[in-house]
Amino acid sequence: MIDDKALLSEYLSESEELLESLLADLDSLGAQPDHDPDINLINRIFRTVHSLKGLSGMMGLVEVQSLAHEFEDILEELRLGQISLDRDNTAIFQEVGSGLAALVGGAARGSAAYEDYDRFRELLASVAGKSRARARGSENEIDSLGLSAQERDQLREDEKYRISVNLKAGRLFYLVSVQFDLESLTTKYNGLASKLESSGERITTFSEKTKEPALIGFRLLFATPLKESEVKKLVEPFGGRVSRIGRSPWRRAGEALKVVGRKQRAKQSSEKRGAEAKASTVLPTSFAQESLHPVSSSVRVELSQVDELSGLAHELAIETQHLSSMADRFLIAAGFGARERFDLRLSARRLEREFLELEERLVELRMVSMAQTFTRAARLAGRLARDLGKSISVEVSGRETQLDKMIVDRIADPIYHILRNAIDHGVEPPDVRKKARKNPRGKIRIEASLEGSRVVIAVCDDGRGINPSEVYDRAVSIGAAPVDEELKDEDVLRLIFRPGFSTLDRISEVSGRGVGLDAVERAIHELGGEVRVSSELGKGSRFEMAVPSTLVMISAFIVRVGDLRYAINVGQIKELLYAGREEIMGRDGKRNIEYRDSKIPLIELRYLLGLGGARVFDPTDEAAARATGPLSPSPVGRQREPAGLAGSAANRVPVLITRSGERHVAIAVEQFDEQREIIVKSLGSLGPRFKGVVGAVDLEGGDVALVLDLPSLLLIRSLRM
Amino acid sequence: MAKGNKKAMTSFLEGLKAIHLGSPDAEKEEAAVNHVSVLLFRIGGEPYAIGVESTEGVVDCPRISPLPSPPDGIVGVASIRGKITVVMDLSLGSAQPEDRRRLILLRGDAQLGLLADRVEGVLSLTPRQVRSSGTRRQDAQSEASAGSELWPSQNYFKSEGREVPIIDTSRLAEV
Repeated sequence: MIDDKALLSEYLSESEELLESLLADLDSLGAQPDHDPDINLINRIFRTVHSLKGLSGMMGLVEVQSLAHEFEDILEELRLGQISLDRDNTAIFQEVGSGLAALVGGAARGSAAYEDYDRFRELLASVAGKSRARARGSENEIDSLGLSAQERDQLREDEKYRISVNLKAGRLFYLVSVQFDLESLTTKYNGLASKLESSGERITTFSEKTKEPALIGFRLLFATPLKESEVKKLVEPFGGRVSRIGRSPWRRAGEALKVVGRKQRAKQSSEKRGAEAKASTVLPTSFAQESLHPVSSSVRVELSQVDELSGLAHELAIETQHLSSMADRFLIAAGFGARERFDLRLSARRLEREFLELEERLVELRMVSMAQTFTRAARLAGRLARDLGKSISVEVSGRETQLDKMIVDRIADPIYHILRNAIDHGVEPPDVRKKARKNPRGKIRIEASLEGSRVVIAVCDDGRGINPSEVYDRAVSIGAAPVDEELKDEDVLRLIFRPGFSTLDRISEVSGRGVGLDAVERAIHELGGEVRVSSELGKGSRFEMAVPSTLVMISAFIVRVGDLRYAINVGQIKELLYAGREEIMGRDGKRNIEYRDSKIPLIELRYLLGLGGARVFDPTDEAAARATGPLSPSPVGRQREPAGLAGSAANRVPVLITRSGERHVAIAVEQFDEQREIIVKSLGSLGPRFKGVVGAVDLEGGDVALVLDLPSLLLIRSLRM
Repeated sequence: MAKGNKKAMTSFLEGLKAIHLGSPDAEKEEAAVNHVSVLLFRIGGEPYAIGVESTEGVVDCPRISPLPSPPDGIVGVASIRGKITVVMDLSLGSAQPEDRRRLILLRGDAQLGLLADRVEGVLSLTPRQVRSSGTRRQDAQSEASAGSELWPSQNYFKSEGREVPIIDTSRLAEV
């Protein structure tokens, strides 16, 4: 039974994916020729069932696990050719496949279907039974070789299989008898074996009694397309005797007749079995429906779709503000009183709040739990420890902690990196730990917990800890630490995040060359998080990565105003263009520009941002010319290539067209920079109070660009006027 | 810390000691455990204090990106260790040249940083030295004019005859 809902849903979505591919593969199995099925397909089915088994085992779903296990066994036999892929077997496999789906579904609802489970086991057992019958069938084939009863008993299953493969291939069978003395036994035997193997298949070796006690006798069963005389030539140097065994062409015809008879009998019995199976397996209705329904009630949606929807919700909220301020003006104009205006504002505010909540809920859809990453991390830690000859136990807590999908993806590498360091450098080898009177088994803890709006992921070990003086010396030697300044231990520890830092002279295969922690810190910074480290000598270390639990990545266009850069979501940009100064009409705050045969207002971003008054768009104005400098715009979706750009760049003003309600508005900036994907970082709990800004993005050189929300900026301006 | 700052710090601390020594009977009553640690700093030349437990550290202030029409007291944002920090400036414009300023990082979800011309250091105060401005308002009504209304501080202590406000971070976040 699975109690944890988040974990359950993750299990469901992962197993659903496996089941989907399993069922599809089983379907195409039906279209395969009996004798020569696509081995890649069978291997894939095998792997899928194997993964499903592992996944169910992890979730403690014993029934699913053991059914998958039995299925896996049968598939293994199929892979080895011990089971043929006839129509019956294919049908049974398909039924067991949907049976697994049903069991997973049952486990999800908390109602394991035991009868179903038993039935599927029986189905699988019937295939296994047939395979035994089949094995008996090949016994018949082996009979045809005329081996002694004793020799036949010595044959292993795989050898019997090889015999039948070679029989089917029409090869000839020989028994090669040799006798060697003890001294030359190994060289001669090996010599003979390799000689035979160069031109056929040595299937097995029987021992043979000899009259001379000093000699040891062998009989080798050899299958080859070679003629008897050729084999004799091969064996001659070893003094062996060769006898051809098995079917003569005459016996082969008789064998063929027998085979036909057997096939007919098999067909009859399988039809009977099929009828039985049908009678005994009338599906319970709920189950029959179940196999048609998806196992989990979740759907897969692209993250970009979710982002689009949340963006839309955001725009709706802004539009509501806009609408309400307009309506307010109409109410005044129409002579309505304060009461009506208050009511209007109230319901507009409510609507806006609901849109904002919608946006928030949509953003929450991006959240997934840490369960999967942690499970993988724990597994990886175990394997690493084994590879490094260390013994550790891994403890995991906070699997259910939710994080944005993108952060979970991006934090995986840093977690693994720190984990590797902890196992490689932190945890001591068992003998060292014993000497230090520690449990020879090291302990690694991986935790996730909430810290305000952030999630802290910690990796702790109880190893040797980090020695601040070693760190300091090392940092001084690579020039990463100030020599004359006194640092607190805390600050010294932070030096390990400097590029090129590594306290160990030994370069370990696992942890690499000390290019790591700086990369870890950079990755976490990019997410708007921070890395913290604490350590106690001899007791262990703790690395914490605090990351925001949500973030939004957008495609943004960077523009410049003065020496400041701003990012604008490309979704809010209709078009980028350069306007000639002569195209800009009107003065000061009331400028216009011709756009698509109509006049639209042109506003300077500088003014929208409250950074000062309007520029003078006069070609002779030097400051303006400098601001528009040499231009190198990057393409944005609907960009129109500005005509004659290169020639008169200084005369042209970079303008972006956006929409405000139904109207287009031109916003003049001072320089187009580039388009890029940015992670919008939160401005903290006060963020919503900063109007016109949705967040900020880190730029190179420690600068920050605000991510502007043009509709709200325009709205603020229209309210000011 | 620059030399000039150290000098100012010393005189500042001496002033504080003077009050402290001036009331020896008060000292006896107060157990050391009750002491309050505050970070002393200056904004526009004026001394201020803030409880150490509500700070996260002090850094040199990087370039600030101004916010459009920000609330009073807030000037913009800066990136500190990969985290966007909202920069507050309580000096109302009469501050140090930009490149010399320090930023006191405050704890909490608001991601606030407080601009200071200079950070003097940490000082331990006895509970008796900490006074509530509730009484101050009554004594000095006239003082509670335009400027002091802005200060989000309820408590203060006296040094060199001056009131050093202890800034309350929970109020800062409510700007």
